[in-house]
Amino acid sequence: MNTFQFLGALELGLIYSLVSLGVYLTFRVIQFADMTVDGSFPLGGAVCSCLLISGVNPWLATSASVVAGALAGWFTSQLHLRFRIFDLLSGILNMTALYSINLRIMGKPNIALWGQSTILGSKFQTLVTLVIFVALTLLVIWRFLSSELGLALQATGLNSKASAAYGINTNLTKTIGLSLSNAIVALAGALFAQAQGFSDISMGTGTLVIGLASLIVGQTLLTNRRQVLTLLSLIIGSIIYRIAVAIALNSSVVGLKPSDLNLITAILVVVAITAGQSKREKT
Amino acid sequence: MRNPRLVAITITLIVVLSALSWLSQEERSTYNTKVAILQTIQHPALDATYQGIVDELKDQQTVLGAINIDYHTAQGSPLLAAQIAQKFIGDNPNILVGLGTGASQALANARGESLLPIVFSSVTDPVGAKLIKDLSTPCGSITGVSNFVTPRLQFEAFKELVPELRSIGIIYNPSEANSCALINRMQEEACGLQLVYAGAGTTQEVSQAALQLVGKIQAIFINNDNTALAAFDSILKIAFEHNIPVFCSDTDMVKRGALASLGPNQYQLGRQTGRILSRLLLGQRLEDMTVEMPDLLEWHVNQEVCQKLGIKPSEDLLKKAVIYP
Repeated sequence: MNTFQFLGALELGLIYSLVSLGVYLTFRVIQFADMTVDGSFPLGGAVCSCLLISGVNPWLATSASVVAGALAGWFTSQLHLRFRIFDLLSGILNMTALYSINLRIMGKPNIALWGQSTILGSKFQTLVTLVIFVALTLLVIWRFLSSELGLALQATGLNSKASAAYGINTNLTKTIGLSLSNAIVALAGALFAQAQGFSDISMGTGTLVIGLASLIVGQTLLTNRRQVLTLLSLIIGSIIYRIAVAIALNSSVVGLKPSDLNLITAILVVVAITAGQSKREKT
Repeated sequence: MRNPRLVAITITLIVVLSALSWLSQEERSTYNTKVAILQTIQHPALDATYQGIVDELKDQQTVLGAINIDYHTAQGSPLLAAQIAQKFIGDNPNILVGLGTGASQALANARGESLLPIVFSSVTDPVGAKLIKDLSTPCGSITGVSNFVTPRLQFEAFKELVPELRSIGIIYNPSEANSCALINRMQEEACGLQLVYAGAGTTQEVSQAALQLVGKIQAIFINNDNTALAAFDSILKIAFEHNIPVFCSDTDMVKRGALASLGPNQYQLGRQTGRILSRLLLGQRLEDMTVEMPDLLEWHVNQEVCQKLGIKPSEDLLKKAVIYP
């Protein structure tokens, strides 16, 4: 693996660490199996690229995609709370609908952003900007989860019936969890489109699996009781996963092909989960 | 830390594998010429183009010397395309080749400021994909072969074969950039034909799209859409049941049962790309090369299907055609 690949893996790892932060908020904090991310990631890219080619300021465009992601999350929460649709199904329905919506927003399946000014500049600027974004998001999430509302979200995840009995508005906490999560994932999508120079309708496929894999790798290696370290482990997990993919791409030496990556991801996740399990059984 | 031993094992694994891959890097750099090829997705048309490139380079081995070809497909994922492109750029090959729009865009982006030459192949709309500014001006660092065929030529050829043709149905996947670019051109150059569109997001939906068109159109046209081409047999089945001829841009489909096709042969497109690569490797400057259109458009007709559908093509139409069976 050369320096170029390593830096590229770092850049992609930082972008996808936002995805794992979002997935952590739903899958772990409010215990909601949210599949919307496969739709909100390209939604962020679609909104951002569509606004960029219309001449909108890049920072405004990126902010707009965050708002769009929050709306998508809100919609999933309404499907679940108002229409009483099972959580997994709400996410899947929303993700399916978002496919058509994203195509409408972009107008065509692929928008090229070459020559557009974005919030990311040269390679070095990009890395610095991404580190700042990720650090800020981490800080915001950490402070939020320590706040009263954040604690209410965690309580909802631990035991929603008991939390409701204690006067926590679980409908509100679930809505906030879903909106916040998808807002962050949409931000990741907008950053990905700007980093890659194009937004494509297919860029959402597999986002959830990548987010979960990064989450599990990070949590297994570095879980701690302290919230801030748990969040940090998500970021490190995402970067390690991208580096692992880069290594796998160089492994024609050992006979591996990129098409084996899905199998490798599955094995990685299984190993990570079972390693965590055996430790838990001992205590 | 939850499990220090696990952390230690993981870190050791990563270090060992990185070292291994770095070492294997050194071996490959002793090759004289390196060409790195990234394919957007596995598909018979793109696979044929790749084969054409490989065969052309092999045929020219006496002039070019041994060439190390590094080939990966991105399996339709922009994320994977990005990482493979980064790997290629770091390997510093002589030429980068992108098969399909997604691969070419990923390579162009990963290249950034460096001047590594990129040759794209089988990109229907390179201007729309922002790979180049326009088709007629040479662009300093990127060139290639487009597989675009002017729809007017195709419609005129189809009308010659089936004079009563008034309406054509088009099956396509709305998420394919090449198809969407073609729809606009076809609409502009319809030559008085009525065009009816049926969208199919996945290969499973293709037969539904075909059934939707029955009764509304006199013929079906599949224009380079990967999804429709993957489910071509289901389209043929429905078309034959209702006596509807099927035209397409991919000449390989005529022997499978399409009535006729006017288009580039994807394998020959690969050979044309291979010729560009060899000219570059022999010293021609990329700055002097404009984007090429397919050298040769072939007109293929399937006589068996003609008989089945009761179509009697004229003698001179058959003369310039490649005929099946």
